[in-house]
Amino acid sequence: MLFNSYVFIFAFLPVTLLGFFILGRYKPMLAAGWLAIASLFFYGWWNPVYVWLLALSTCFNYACGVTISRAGMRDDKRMQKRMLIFAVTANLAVLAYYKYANFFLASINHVTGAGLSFGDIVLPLGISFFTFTQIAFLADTYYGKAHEYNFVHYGLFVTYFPHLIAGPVLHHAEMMPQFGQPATYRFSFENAAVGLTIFAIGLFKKVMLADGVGAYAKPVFDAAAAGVHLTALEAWCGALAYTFQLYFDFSGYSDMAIGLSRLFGVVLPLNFHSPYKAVNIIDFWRRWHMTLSRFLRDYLYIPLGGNRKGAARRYLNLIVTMALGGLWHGAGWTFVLWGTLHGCYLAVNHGWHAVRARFGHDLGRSTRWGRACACLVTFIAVVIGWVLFRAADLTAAVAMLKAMTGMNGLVLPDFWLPKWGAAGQWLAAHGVRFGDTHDLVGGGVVNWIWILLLVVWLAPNTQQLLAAYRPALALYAERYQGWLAWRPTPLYALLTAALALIAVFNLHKHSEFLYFQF
Amino acid sequence: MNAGRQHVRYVWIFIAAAAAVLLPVLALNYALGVRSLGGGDAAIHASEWQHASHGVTYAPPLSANRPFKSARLLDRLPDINTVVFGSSTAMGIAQGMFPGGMTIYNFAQTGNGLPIVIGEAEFLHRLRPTGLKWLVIPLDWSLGFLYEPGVPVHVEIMPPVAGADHAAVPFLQQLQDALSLPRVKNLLGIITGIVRAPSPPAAFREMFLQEASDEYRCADGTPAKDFDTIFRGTCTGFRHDGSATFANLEPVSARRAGALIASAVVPSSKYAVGLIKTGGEPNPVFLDHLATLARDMQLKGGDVILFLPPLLPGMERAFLEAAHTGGPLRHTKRVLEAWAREHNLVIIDAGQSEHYGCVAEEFVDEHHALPQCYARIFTRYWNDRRVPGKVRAGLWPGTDAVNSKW
Repeated sequence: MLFNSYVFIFAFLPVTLLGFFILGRYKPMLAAGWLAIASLFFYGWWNPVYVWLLALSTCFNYACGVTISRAGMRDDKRMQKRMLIFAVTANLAVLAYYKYANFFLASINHVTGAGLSFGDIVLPLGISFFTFTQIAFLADTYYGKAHEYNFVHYGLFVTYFPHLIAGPVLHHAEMMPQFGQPATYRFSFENAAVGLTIFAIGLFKKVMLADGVGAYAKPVFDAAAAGVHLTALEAWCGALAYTFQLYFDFSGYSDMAIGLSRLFGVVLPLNFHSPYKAVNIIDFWRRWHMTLSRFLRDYLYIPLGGNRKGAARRYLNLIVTMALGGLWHGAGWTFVLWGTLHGCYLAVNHGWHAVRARFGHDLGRSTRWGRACACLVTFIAVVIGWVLFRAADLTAAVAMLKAMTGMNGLVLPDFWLPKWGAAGQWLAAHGVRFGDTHDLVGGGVVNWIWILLLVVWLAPNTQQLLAAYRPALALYAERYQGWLAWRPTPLYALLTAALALIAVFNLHKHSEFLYFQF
Repeated sequence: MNAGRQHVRYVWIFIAAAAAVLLPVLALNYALGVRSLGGGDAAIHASEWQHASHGVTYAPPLSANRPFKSARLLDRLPDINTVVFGSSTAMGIAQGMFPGGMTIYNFAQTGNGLPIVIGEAEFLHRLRPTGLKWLVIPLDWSLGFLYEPGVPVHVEIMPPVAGADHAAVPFLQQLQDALSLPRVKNLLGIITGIVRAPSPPAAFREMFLQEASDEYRCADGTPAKDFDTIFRGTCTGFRHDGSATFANLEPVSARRAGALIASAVVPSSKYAVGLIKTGGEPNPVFLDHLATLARDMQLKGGDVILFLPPLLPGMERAFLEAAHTGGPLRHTKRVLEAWAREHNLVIIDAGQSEHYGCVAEEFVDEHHALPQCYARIFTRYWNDRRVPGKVRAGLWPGTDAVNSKW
C-alpha cells in the first residue's frame, strides 16, 4: 500500500487510528498488537506472499536477540558471539538471495559466458530496511544497549508501517521506550495537528513536486539509454530534474513517515535535513538518509577500523563503506560505482580538511560567499553522482556525463532565441548555437529547476518549520524562527488543508516512491 | 486561547475545510460518473440517436466502446460491404478513403488485439456469408498484437441489452475516479458553464439530470450529441461510418516528436517489448486464420485488406536502426512478405508514414494517426491499384530503407 493512495488515506489510516486509540483506552498492549497487525496488513497489500517472510524474520530475530541477551546475563560471551554471527549471517543470506543473487549470477555469466540463473526472484518490498533494522537490534543486544524484550513491542518496532517500506532505519533504543509509554496510546490533538501538517506537506512534496519534475527526467535518461546524442543543456536538465525528483520523493516520504507516526504519538528519527544545503560531502551525508548513514557508520565503518588505523586505512574504510552502501541501494554496478564515487568524495573531503588543519586553518570559520561556493560545488558533485545512480547502465551513464561536459555540443533550443530578444541575438552573434533539439528540455523544465533550486537552497524544511513541536528525534537539526514557523492557527489549518486537497486531487497519477526499490 | 484549545481548533478547521471541498466534489462527480463510467442504457440510446441523425456521438466511457460499436455495426450491417477492424489505432479510417462500391463501418475498438479482431471477422463472415466482401485488418506489430501467443478468440457480436448493467467499474473505483484531477477540473468547468449559462437551472438539469446533452452542430455541420459528461460540446466520438473524430486529443507537435520517438525505442517501452521478446516472430496461427479468411473473401469477389499501421514519422526508421529492435522488426517484415506472397495477398506497409507524406501533426501520439494521414495512405494505395502490376503480392509499396537491410 502506498502512502500516496486513496485506500491508504481514506480507509487504512482512519481505521487503524480509530482502532489504535479505542483499544489504547482499555489496554495499551492490545493497541500495540492492533498496530502491528495493521502494519502486516499494510505490507501484505502489496504482495501477501511475503508477509510470511516479514513475520518469520521478526520472530527469528526476536528469538536470536533474546538468546544473545540471556547469554549476556549468564556472561557467556562465546555463545553471545556465535549467536550474533549466526543471526547476522542468516539475515544477510536472505537479503543476498532476494536482492543480489541474480545480480551476482548475471555478473558471473557476463564474465564467463555461463548461463546460470535462479529464475525470476521478486524483491520483497522493504527487505533492506527491515533487515538492517534488525541487524542493528542484534548488534545493540550484543553490546548490551537493548533493554526491552516485549515481543509485541518488538514486532511493532520491526513492522511499524510508517517506516517499514523505506525507512528511517530505526534503533531499538529510540522506539521501544515510546511503545512502552501509556501516553503514546492516548489521543492527543497536538500530535494530530502536528502529524497531519507534516503528512500533508510530505504528500504535497511527493505528488506535486517529485512527480511533477520527475516527468522531465525519464525521457532524457531514456534517450541516453537509446543512444540519442543529447546536448549539454538537455543532459543537465535531465540530471537536475532527477536530482529534484529524488530529493522531493525521499523528503516527501520521510515527512509522511514522520507525520503518520506522530498521529500515533510516536516520534521517529529525522532522516532528511535539507541535504542540498550541505557545504561539503561530509555534511551531505549528515543530511541525506541520516539513519542509513548512522547505520553504516556504527555497524560497518567503525567495525572496519574507522579512523583508528591511520589516514590511508581511514580513506579505504570510507570507500569500502560507501561502495557497500551503494550496493545496498540496488543490485547493479551503477549503484556500486555511485557508492564508490561518494566514498572517494568523502576521502578527498577528509583529506582536504587534514591539509587545511596542517596549514593552521580554522575549519570552523567560513564566510557567506565561501559557504555558497562550497554548497554549489557539493551540489554539482552530488548531481554527477545521481547520474550514475539513475542511469539504466554504465553506457547510458557515460553518455549522460559526456553530454553534460559539453562533448556533444552546447546547442540551445531555437525557440528560445526569439524569446530572449536582444540578449538571444547577442549570444547567437557570439558563438552560442540555437538549433533544433529533441524537445527534451521544453515544457517548463527550466522553470521547474530554478524554482526548486531556490526552494532547496533557501526555504526552511518541514522539521525546521515545526521545530517548536519536536517533530522528529533530531540527529542533527537547526531551529528555524522565521515568520514561516508553524503555529496552530486557523490560517495554517486552511493552508495545510489546501496542500492536502491539491495532493489528493492528483493522486490518480499513482506513482511509487523511488526508495521503495531499495 | 491556551495551546491545547488551539490544537483542537486547528484539527477541526483542517477536517472541516477538507470535508467542505471533498464531499461536494465527491457527490457531484459521482453523480456524473455513474453515467460517464458506463452505467445505464447509454449505448442503446446513443446508437438509436446516431441511427436517426447520422451524427457524431459515443456512449461512455470512451475507452470501452464495444457495446456502442456493436450496436452500430449490427444496425449498419445490411447497408455495408466492408468492415474495418482493429484497435483505436485504426479508428482514423473513414468512408471517404475507399472507392465507390465499398461502403464501410469502422468497427475498431479501444484495445482490440489481433486475436479478437480475427474472431470478430470470422463471426461476421459466418453471420453474413454473402453481403460482406471486404475486411480491413491491421497487423499491429508496434503494440505487440502480431506476436501474442495463443489462438484467435471465439467472438459473438451481440447488441447491448436494455436494462443490463454495463458498468464494469467497481464502486470504490468510481469514488476514486470522482476525486481525480481531470474529473475535478471537468467539474469546475461544468459549474462555471452552469453559472454562466442563460438559464443556470436548465444547464444544471442538462448536465446532472438528463442522460445526454441537447443536440448541437459540429464545425462541419454534422449534428452531435454527448452522452458522456466530459468533452461536452467538442464533437468527440464516432461518426456514422464508425471513424473517430479524435476531437478531444491534441496533435503531436513536430518538436515533440523526437522526444516521443526516443522514449518509444528504448527496450522497456511498450512498443519494443513484444518485438524483443519474440524476436519479431508473428504468431503463425493468426496468419493461417487470416489466409483462410482472405481466400473465402476472394471467392466472393472481395478481399482482406491488411496493413501495418502508420507510426509517427521517423519512428519505424528509429526502430530499424536501433540494435535491439532492428533485427526483430526486419524479421517480422521478412516473414510477412513471404507469407503474403505465398497467399497472393497485399499488405499495406504504412509504418514509415513519412513516405506517404504524413507529418507529426497528423498523429495524436506515437501510433494514433489522424484521418488525414490515413487518407494519404489509402489514396496512394487505391491509385496504385488502378495501375496494372504496380501493386503486387507482398508488402506494398516496399521501402528501400527496409529492403536494403534485408
